Amino acid sequence: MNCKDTHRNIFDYLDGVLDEHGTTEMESHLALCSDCSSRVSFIRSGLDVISVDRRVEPDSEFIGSVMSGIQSAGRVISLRERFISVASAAAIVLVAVFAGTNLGRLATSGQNSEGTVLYAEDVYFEPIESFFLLNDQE
Amino acid sequence: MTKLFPDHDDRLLVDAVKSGNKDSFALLVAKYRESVIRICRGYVGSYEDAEDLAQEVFVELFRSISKFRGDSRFSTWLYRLAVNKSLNYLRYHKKRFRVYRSSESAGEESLINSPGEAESDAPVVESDHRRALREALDKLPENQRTAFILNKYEELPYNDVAAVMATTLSTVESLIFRARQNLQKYLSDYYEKNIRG
Ligand SMILES: [Zn+2]
Repeated sequence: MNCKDTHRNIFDYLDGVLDEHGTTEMESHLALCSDCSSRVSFIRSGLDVISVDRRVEPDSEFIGSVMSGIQSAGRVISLRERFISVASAAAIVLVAVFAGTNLGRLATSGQNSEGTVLYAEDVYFEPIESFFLLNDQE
Repeated sequence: MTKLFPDHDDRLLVDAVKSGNKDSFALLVAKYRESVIRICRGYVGSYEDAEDLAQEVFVELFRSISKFRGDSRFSTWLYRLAVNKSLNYLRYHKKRFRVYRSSESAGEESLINSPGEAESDAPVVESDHRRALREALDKLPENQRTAFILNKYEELPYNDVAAVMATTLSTVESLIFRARQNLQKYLSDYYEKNIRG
């Protein structure tokens, strides 16, 4: 097996669907050719990303977020926005505490403090066009 | 291989949702959220984006559940919704991704790994693998990509992939064959361009 044949058979080899003869030839070539060996190893690791990405641990807020989405005319508050809301609420509390403890000083200096409004980025939402219609042509 | 879930319980839940029972809808979300996030992730890459997109899929599901007539399994219907939503998302963001890619050479952070995702702290070599896979998947035609994602990310067997894509088993076999050929080439090209010394 030469380098070109090896390149053509990488997926079959990694999926274990090469026949016994092909596998032996492939492995003999990989033992001698560092370039093909490194290429196969790179592609194997690339495909391993899929196994990593399959591991899913939904956020504990996931169901709550969907349920509030269906109550509010389809506007989904994304988990990131929820985090921003919680962080903003915490910031407001801190500001309020700060303002409370410094009320006297602020009042005497005659300054007004203006609240900062945070705008979370809009979540893309678009009604589904139609159900998936397979187009065999590419 | 994961099979599409048995449909009997789902139909009872769907009927309950249709008559206004939101708790039953929450049960459907709990049952299918992981599958939907996995499918969305196959398209968008970033976990956070996939989770947000999955939420939108479920909101869309709630809106349109009255249209589910039971001609197919509920899970088939839901996965098709997730595929459509993901494809719409990608079409909408295509321009943004293209703009980003043109600035990649300037050494900016990748949108493929969203900020704060664990991978951003990973060794460079792991990011390269992730980026190579994402770029390769992005280059696939939509139908090859969909067949591959349903089979590899959600581990649906070919006949279930065919049901979701409303096509035949032999078409799915051919789509996945071509997807593998193309991915092999794209990953190999990436290796030559970016890794090989
Ligand atoms: Zn070689």
